[in-house]
Amino acid sequence: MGTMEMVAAADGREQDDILLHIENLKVGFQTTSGFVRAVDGVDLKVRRGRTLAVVGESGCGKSITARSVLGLLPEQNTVMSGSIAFKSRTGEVLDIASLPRRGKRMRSIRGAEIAMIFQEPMTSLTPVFTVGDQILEALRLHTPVRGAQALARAIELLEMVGIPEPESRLKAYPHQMSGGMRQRVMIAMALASNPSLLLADEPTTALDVTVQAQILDLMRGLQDELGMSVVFITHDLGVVAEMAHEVAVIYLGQVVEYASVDDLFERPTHPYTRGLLNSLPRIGATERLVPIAGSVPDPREHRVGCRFADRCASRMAKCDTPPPLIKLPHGQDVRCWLHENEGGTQS
Amino acid sequence: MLSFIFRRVVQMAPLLFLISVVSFVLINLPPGDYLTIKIAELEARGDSGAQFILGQYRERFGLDLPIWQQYWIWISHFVTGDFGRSFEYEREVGTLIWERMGFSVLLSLSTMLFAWLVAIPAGIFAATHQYRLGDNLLSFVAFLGLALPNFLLALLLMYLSVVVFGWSVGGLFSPEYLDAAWSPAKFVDLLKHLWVPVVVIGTAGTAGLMRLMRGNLLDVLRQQYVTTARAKGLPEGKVVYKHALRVAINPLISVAGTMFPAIIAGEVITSVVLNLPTIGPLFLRALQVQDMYLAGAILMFMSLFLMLGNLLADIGLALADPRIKLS
Ligand SMILES: Nc1ncnc2c1ncn2[C@@H]1O[C@H](COP(=O)(O)OP(=O)(O)O)[C@@H](O)[C@H]1O
Ligand code: SF4
Ligand SMILES: [Mg+2]
Repeated sequence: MGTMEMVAAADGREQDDILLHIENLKVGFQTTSGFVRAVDGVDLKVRRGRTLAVVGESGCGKSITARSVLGLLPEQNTVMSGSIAFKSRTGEVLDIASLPRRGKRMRSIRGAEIAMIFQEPMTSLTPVFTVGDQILEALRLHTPVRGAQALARAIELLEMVGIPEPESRLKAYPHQMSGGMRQRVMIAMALASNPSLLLADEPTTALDVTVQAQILDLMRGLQDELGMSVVFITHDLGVVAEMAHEVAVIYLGQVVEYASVDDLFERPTHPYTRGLLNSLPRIGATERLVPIAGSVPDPREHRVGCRFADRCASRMAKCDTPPPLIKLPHGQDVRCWLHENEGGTQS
Repeated sequence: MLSFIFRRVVQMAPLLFLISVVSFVLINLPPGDYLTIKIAELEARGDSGAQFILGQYRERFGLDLPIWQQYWIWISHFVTGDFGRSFEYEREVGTLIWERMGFSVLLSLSTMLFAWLVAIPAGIFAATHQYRLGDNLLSFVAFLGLALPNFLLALLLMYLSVVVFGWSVGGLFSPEYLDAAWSPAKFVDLLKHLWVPVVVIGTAGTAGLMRLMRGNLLDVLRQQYVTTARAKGLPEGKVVYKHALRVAINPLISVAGTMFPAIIAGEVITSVVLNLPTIGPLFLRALQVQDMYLAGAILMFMSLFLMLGNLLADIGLALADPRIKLS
């Protein structure tokens, strides 16, 4: 087998392996105070059975990216472009971005093949229905089980997410449960249909530290057990190390670095990633934390050149032109002119 | 639940007592009293029985006694179902109210039904079409409904009813059915008359309810659990009607409790304009001429309705919203 063929085969395998491929996703909002570029050309690949962490400061477009995948953006004043290719169970590859968001096809994916859990467990469940009702509703929507079988399955799901006395908890209303328990219920509901992809939008941010650790353990265990893919959104690099296989670092609506979790922590390449890592508290560290200078700029401002420029210590003349995502030879992508000559291809 | 209802009913007693004292004092407050005028009138007509009637009233209600004793006589009879006598009509208050209460309740319930049947769908439509043509149009109509005085609306609809439909208006029945026994034809005749006051009295309330429904639903539609419901794969209709509406409608249940007595009290002007055989005009007249036992009894009944309405609304709300605990 020649080298060329080997590369082609590897490429083919990689293609098979990719469940979700977001390309050049742009989302903007027309507001009374101007046009907000919430997502500005995001590219992401989610592989089967893997966890991709999406990291970035608050407001950089993580939630909007995740919501785009389920067609959950606000209907008014939203402009969206790009493609979101998803490999459906049926084997066909769908461009979710082009599906009518209220249509049947969109709904056959929502909750069935791609499920989502959110940052605010306290308000994520409808307050006037019992936990059981809401899980059974998901089962009715996406699975053939009914009646006693459905009930048994709901109990099984609650057991799976570590809720004690699942039978009696089915009859509980959300307000009778703690935030951690509600997030477990959300996870159970998300798993009702055995989705191939779980979007977790900062699922532990609102929880206190011990509960956060429990939920992270649970999610890791479930991912191993069920083999689903997970997009884990967080602003906390500490959590990334525990949860992810791959990491995408987002800044102001763009991916600035993409790497395996090991690479990222060993060789953080983009100045923004380095800044994030430096501001992370480390056990036994003696040096003071170095926060990134400045704050996230207003996404309404139109900017030319590198979006990180006004906070970057390595800024140079070239940075007035927007840097492309540069593929480094060892399989790390970085959007920064500093690495222009380290080989690899540009895109 | 039962102990809650029991407790609330028991709590009503002192409140009603307080209201009865205040109403009695207020009604007795203006100078002059009806009876003196009435006697003078009767004597002027040369009615020899005047002194006799006066004597009867004096004796029955203790009108020569101090006011607190008068109050006591009134209230102790009241609780046994003897509401006193109307000076003006020279009839028992109980019978007078009873004759008109049926129509008042009918009018109030019809008005509430009308308000809800119009306001809820309109509010839902406005919320789900926020800032679009339909929403703006509904907002405009609602604004008109709130701004238009009832008497004007009443005159407008009377004109419409007579000129366009050729139906007689005023009152609740056409002359030929007034004293007739109940029959399907009489019922139809009633409906032909009823819609005018229902629309007149109900318009402002409907507009208010619609705005409330729209606002609540818009608030709820922004909630995280609505996104959860969508993310689950529920069709938009179910998201709105099952998940959002079930929460958004709860505050309207509270409003319903105050609406019923508010309509009975608020129908006065409309009923005078339209000449309806309801409580409103009776109450107004009783206040004007200081027909104190009649006015007092109506006040007491309206207070009772208000309290019962609130109780019913609280029970309804507790049934509808599991987060609310009755205590
Ligand atoms: N409906 C909206 N209208 C206008 N701006 C919005 C809207 N939703 C989000 N944004 C803006 O888009 C940007 C990205 O938001 P988001 O994806 O929620 O950030 P995060 O990374 O914290 O999840 C933010 O600046 C936010 O203010
Ligand atoms: S492109 Fe320039 S400004 Fe942007 S991160 Fe790299 S060095 Fe800094
Ligand atoms: Mg977010």
